[in-house]
Amino acid sequence: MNLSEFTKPIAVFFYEIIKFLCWLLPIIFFSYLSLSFLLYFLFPDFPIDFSAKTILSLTSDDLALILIILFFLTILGIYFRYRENKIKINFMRFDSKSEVVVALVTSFFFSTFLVKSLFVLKNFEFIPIVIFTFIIFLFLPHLISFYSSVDLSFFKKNLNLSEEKNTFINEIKNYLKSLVKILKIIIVKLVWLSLSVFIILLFASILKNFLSVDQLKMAAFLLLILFIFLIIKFTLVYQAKFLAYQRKLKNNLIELIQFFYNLSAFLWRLIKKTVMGFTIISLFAIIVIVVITFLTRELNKYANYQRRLRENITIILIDPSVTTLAQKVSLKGYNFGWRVNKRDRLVSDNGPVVVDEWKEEEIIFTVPLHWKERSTNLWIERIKDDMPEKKLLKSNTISLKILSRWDFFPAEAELKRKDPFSYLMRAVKKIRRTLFLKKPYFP
Amino acid sequence: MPKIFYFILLIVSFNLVRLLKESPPFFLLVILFVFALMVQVKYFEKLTFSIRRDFEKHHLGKSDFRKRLVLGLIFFIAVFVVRKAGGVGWLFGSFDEATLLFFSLLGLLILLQTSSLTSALLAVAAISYTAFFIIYKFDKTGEIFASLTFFLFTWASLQALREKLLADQAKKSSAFDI
Repeated sequence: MNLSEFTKPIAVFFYEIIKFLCWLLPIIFFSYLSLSFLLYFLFPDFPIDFSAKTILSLTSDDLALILIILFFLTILGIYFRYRENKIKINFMRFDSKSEVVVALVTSFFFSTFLVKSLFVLKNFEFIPIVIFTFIIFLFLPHLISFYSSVDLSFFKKNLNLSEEKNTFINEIKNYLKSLVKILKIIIVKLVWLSLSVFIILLFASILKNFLSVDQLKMAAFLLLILFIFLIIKFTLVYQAKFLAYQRKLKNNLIELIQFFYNLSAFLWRLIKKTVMGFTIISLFAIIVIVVITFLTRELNKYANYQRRLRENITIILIDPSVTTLAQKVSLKGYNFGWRVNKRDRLVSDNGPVVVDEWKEEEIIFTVPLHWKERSTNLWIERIKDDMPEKKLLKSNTISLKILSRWDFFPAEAELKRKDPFSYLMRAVKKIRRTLFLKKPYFP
Repeated sequence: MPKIFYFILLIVSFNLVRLLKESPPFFLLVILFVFALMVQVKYFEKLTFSIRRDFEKHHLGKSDFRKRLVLGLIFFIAVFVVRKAGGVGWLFGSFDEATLLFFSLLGLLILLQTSSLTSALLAVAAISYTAFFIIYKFDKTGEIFASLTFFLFTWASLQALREKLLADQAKKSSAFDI
């Protein structure tokens, strides 16, 4: 078998899977999101924990990123359908005024959402909002026509045998007709023959009684009569007709055998194709289900993880993560709260740390001079007043690497020296400061 | 057969009301109970008839319906996500949850060209749920449905006014033609 003949169906199969996923993933996500929003807002007395902890707990940034990914998937799906001439690209295609109004408002909302979530320069938001509104408004009709129709040609192609089926149905009808005809002739002839034999036997029986001969002679006589009758009947009276029937029967039988051969071949092909079709579609469905389950699980896991981060005392970032003694370090995260209790503290492997600034999402401190030059773990401890027995809450641990100050800053003696090596060393230290401390100049 | 089924469902719902109070199945039962009541009074038949009449009036085919439904759903999502991101504050700043919900469904109502009758029928469904949620002390949900009822009736009245104006205009223009 040629390699391309073998690889082509596999390539087509995976192409169809990607094409189908490009349609299915946005549909599932939008349905899931809209249903979660609807139930959340319509039945506030009956909150569904699962969606509240997963999809609804996603931050705007995450949601914007997911929507952008889905948008690109949709564009890919539209491109595939356009390439197969199954969709027409025609910008600004709306059927009524109401569609234009709703599409325009939708585009404005989506662009505002994307810009608010992802755009950094807050003073110039209106420019990208206008641009994105226009872009989304242009693409929206295609998105709608893409989502509203599903391309199932691959499934149909794998199961459809319509042309071959119709031909065989006609053939079956013809052969059945001829079969009925043959059966009719055979039955009529057999009835006639049976009747003739019965008449002969009746005649022989009457003759036997009349002549009163012995049984053996009578049997021989009867057989003789029967034989003579058959010879006379088939050779003299029905010779021509019999030969014609025989020929017809033979032809019909050959046709019948041929028909059964064709029928069995067709049935084999039908079964083979159906089994193949179902296998391909089942495989297709399994892959699609696995992909969707995996993505949904990962998305839910991520959303749940993000929610837990926001609900607990969590340090998510230390800046800089590599520093020296006497440098300022910032910890960023969630739920640091106000420092109302004296026992709320930032702790390291070297003991409690003196904090310069404590905010809800940021703590700033200076690395004490007595700390050793090595990796040090840091965490936050808070006393939860509203909990029984004033429970101690601990954050996650984050590592800070402390290097020697003289690896980054020139010593006093080094500053006084004016030789080229000293300048080179100072340049190297400046590069180090830029890379690790992100502060090339002296504080 | 369906009548017997709904009748049994109603009886079971009534009997279970006391047993299941303040548990999640009770909430679902209230929803099902009102649904069954609406089926008993042939509410859904009337609603379907009204929606079908709207479609016929505006010559909306199956593919048009699908497209408008998709656009309506995208609009619905757009409203919630933009509010989540804190955008369009001049509009959503003053919206409570029920108003936001009605606003998000407004796109669908406009796109599917619902008549005043359809909107009024939807309001009837909302008022039935309002009544039962308030009776059974689901106050927040009851308030949401009460606001939805108000908005849907207002929308129905506005549409009725618009339909009347259009009919008058058509009459005048036909009289002018004669």
